[in-house]
Amino acid sequence: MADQGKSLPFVDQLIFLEITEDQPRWLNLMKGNLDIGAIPKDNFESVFDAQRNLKKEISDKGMKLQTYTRSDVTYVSFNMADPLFKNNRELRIALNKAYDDKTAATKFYNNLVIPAYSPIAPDMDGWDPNYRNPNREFNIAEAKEHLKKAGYPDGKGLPVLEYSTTGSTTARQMAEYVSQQFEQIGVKVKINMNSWPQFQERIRAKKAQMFGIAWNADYPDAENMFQLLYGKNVSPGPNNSNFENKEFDALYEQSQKLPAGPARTAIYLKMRDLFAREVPWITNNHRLGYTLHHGWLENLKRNMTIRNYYKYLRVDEAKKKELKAKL
Amino acid sequence: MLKFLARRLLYMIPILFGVTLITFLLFNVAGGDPAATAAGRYATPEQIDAIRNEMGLNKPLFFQYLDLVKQIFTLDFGTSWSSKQPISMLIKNGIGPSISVTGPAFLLSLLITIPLALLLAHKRNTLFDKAMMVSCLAMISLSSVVYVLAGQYIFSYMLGWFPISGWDPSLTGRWHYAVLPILIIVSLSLGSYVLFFRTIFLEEIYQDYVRTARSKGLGNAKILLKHVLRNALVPIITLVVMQIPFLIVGSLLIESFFGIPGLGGLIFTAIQEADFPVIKAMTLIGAVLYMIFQLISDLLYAVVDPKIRLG
Repeated sequence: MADQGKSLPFVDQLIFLEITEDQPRWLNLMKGNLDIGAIPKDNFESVFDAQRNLKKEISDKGMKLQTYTRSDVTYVSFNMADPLFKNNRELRIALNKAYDDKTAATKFYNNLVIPAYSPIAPDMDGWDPNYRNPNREFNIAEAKEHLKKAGYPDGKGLPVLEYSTTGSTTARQMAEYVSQQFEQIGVKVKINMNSWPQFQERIRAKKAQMFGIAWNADYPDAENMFQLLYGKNVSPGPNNSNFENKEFDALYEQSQKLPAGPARTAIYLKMRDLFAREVPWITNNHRLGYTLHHGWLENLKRNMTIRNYYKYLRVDEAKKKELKAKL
Repeated sequence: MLKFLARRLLYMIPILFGVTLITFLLFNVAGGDPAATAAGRYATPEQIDAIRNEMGLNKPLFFQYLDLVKQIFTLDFGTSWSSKQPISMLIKNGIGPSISVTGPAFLLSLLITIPLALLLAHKRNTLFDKAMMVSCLAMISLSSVVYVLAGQYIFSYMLGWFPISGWDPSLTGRWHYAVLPILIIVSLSLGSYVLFFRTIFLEEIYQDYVRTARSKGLGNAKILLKHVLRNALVPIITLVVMQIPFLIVGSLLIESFFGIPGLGGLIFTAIQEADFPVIKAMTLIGAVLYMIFQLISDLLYAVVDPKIRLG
């Protein structure tokens, strides 16, 4: 509030450094060469205590943590153009129930996530923190039951499924995790590694049978998430799961004609429930954003969809001199 | 000598043909549709076709191959798919930073390891030799990532002697950023170079000419520096000259950790983003450089060893 009414921006220039490796990025931040930076996966334990608060040695340096919802969803998508998935809802439910998202959250996201049960991201119209999709709840015994109903008891008779992913180490580890999860109910998975353009090409050409991906909302409205499931948007459009459902499409079109409000939210909830019934994805989680910055950087309020916060940033030079001496 | 040179240059033609043909088959025939990859995720068939036309992919394969050969001779490799910049310019910009780090590092490594290996060969089987051998083996056993991570953490972060990462494109300013990467590359090569050179020198030390020189009363220093070193030059030249193409294309790991905008980083990014024109250009350049330096090394053999006759 101290800067209220003053003319913007407060800084003369913004310098963005492309530092590809975690260690130099982290060390530059800790040394005060960067004002702001992300926390690499391997440095989490040195930053957070068990309650996910900043450790004293970090806050003693005058550093501050900012967390925010990223308005996104990470998920494993089934290719609904593939007859195996298109015609077998029980198989999709079985695979949903075989996937343990809580362990995935620990392994890959340092638990800085909110479990996802629908495409609607936190803070959007229709988001309900208490909502649970019964077809998504992790339960191996039930997964086996559904697999049996799908016609593949203990995975017998089911062809090896193909999971496409990109070539990074984390993507490969995530793919191996998916494979291990399905293995628990007897489903075998072959991992298909690709470069990012090849991965996109496979999806665009409807060649990827299953794939792990995420969507970050372009704007904070559930419509932006549901467009990923709209029948007219199938690949090469943004509906990469190639989900086609007349009831869903009608609801989507109806929602587009309405302004934000209870009537539209009610339609969103119907779409959410229809999604939950059909499970074209295995919803994984909604990621939380976290940014560490030095105490000399003022007015930072990060937001993944509205990115005009740079103009409000201010550097307190006196504080910088004082805090940097401690680093 | 001239006859040899002419013959070797002629040999390079079928090798170059083989390299270009394999590269062409890999990228233009077996590697899927480059136009679809370049067009991106939501491109329409019409857009893909337009790109295919623009890239000359609608031409018969033979003419596409000729285009590739032309690229080598004109050094015009087209445009990068990801950055949309001319590849020749990207390469030109990357060579300087890469060589600024790898060149001095390589020279420094040779200046340290050759005399040290000569000394170890002379002091063979002593405690000093054995201790150095164990140290060299330990140095080789450590992953190169450990050198980079530890070097950056200790010397830049803890002691503050060097910048953590970054680069200054000016000729004078870049050395401030290049010192630590250079020292790390030197440390990385110490173990293997010392062991390699020591083995070469030991082979020479047991030769008859060394015994003869000793019996004539020549001192150790003279025997080692004048006779042993000279006779060991052939394998040393092989190593040195054949390393030059790798110096030019830079060190992927070092460039990536220290933010050096060299060719190593260019190749790494190109592979990550499936930027085929850049990968293709670097593959061809690498192969041509290898052939050229192989020829240079053959010519140098005759210079350092009169027993080798070229012709």
